[in-house]
Amino acid sequence: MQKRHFHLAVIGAGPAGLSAALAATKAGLEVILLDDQPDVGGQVYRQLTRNCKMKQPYLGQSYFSGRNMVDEMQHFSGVYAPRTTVWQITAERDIAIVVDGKAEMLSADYILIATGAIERPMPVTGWTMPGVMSVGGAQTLLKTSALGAENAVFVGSGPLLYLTIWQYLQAGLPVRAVLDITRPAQWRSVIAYAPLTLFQPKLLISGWKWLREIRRQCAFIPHVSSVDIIGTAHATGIRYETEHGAKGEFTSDHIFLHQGVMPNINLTMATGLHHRWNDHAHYWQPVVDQNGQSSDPHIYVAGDGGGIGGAAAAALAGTNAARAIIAKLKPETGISLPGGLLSQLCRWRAKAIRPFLDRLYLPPADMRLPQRDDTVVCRCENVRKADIDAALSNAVTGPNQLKAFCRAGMGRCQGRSCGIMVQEMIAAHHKQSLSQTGYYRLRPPVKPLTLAELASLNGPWPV
Amino acid sequence: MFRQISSPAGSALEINFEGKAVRAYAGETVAAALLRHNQMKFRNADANNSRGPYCMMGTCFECLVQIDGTPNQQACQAIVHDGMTIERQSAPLTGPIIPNPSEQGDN
Repeated sequence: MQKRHFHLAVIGAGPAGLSAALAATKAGLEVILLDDQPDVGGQVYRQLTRNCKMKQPYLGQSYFSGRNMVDEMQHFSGVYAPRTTVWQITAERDIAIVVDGKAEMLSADYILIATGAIERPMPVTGWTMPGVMSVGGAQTLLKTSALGAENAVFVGSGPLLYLTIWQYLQAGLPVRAVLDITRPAQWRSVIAYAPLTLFQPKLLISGWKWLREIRRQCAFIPHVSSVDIIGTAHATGIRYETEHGAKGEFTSDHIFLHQGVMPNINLTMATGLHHRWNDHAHYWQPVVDQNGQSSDPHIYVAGDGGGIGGAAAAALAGTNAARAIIAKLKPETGISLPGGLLSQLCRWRAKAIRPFLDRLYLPPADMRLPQRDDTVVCRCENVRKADIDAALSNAVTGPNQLKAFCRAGMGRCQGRSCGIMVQEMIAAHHKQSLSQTGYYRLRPPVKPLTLAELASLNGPWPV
Repeated sequence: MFRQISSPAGSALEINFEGKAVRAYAGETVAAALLRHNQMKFRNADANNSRGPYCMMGTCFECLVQIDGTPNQQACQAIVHDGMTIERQSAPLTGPIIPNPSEQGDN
């Protein structure tokens, strides 16, 4: 079968992918927009089209601000492929996809990867029990099904946590408690970066508003330094201890955890693009130039998948990357390569607050790393801290060798939950840097694929 | 307890979880439909260790269930349809890896 060919394949229909796909089709490029969700908008604007009709003001202005972009999709003249999983990009830049159990190969002159962010893992004792969810998960339930949990305990720090609690309060849901893990030392570390927040006054005011309401309406416990989730078959409560030694306990069937987001690097890493460890934000990110061009000149990365910047910055980066691709593919359109001072300033301003937020809400090491022997690190394979410590005392030197010793990272999620923790545990054990320690070697397929799906490929398998 | 804050967007339909009829709404995910009925346990990781939805965005693979006979389906990604049959599953997986060809429609 002839492969479908496009000028540009965009992977991910969040703010970065959407704005790139729209800009590229307007310039006359043949574009396919691939996304694993049923609707456009990504996680941040999930189900926005439907929610606009439903009148749910509790979701707030930041959510509904994505409306213009999502509405513009009605005039999208490219191919939109929802519920489509990309599982490989080959060395020849062919793209392997699967939709409804059927696999297919596509080809494209340029690829834009806009796969967004995932939540940083929060390995506390009991975090695998039913009833414990990520805050992003709780917010998704709010957006997709108008479902909220009563008397939940929220634990962690960061903008998504505060926004979600604020949305809960706006929706009239009682919140049992908020355990905040931000410590005084983190506030002291960001004083030098505080002036940057003035470049994004709207965000600053939103954050202040969210925290004010949370402190006013919830049992708010600051400086939490240790938590254990209680329960046997499912979560029934949570015990905490603060930095100053104060201890307490709350009962709840719903515990929501969040300590920031990081780029979703599984596809960019499995494609073999160069990555670097970002020391201050504490995550891996693909190496890209100012227009999002990766180490492969035909593959671009835009949005949170290239480094966390939020929805507004992602949309600008998407448009910008599309312009760079248009300039290369269709020089006759006369579109100038972006990179002018004004464009750079705009994009800088859209994430000016990040150096401040990245440092303030980087979880302390005692929250990033498991503290008890029986805490699960690799959720897929049920590998506990003690198992990893045992492997480390057997002279394991890196993340890939660790897989062979204890199976951490070998499950279905392919390290999305445990990778960064395992890396840091190894680095701490060997007293070496995180970039030196490296990450799991990721390989396609980047999402699990059944043999039936692979066998459905009409033509040669990707190599 | 999960509470319905405003009316769901889709029309009502019926799915079946562990042999019991459960109301769901068109367009929503299997995970959301089951959580509405406070079903939080989706699978067994081992004898003493059950799991339910965690990330709700297809990242963590904790919410795997058997849907219409096919195991290892992500409940947070699968969209409900009228008459859908959902069962808890145990890991390591049970059931056929490749669906029986006679049940496969026009593939």
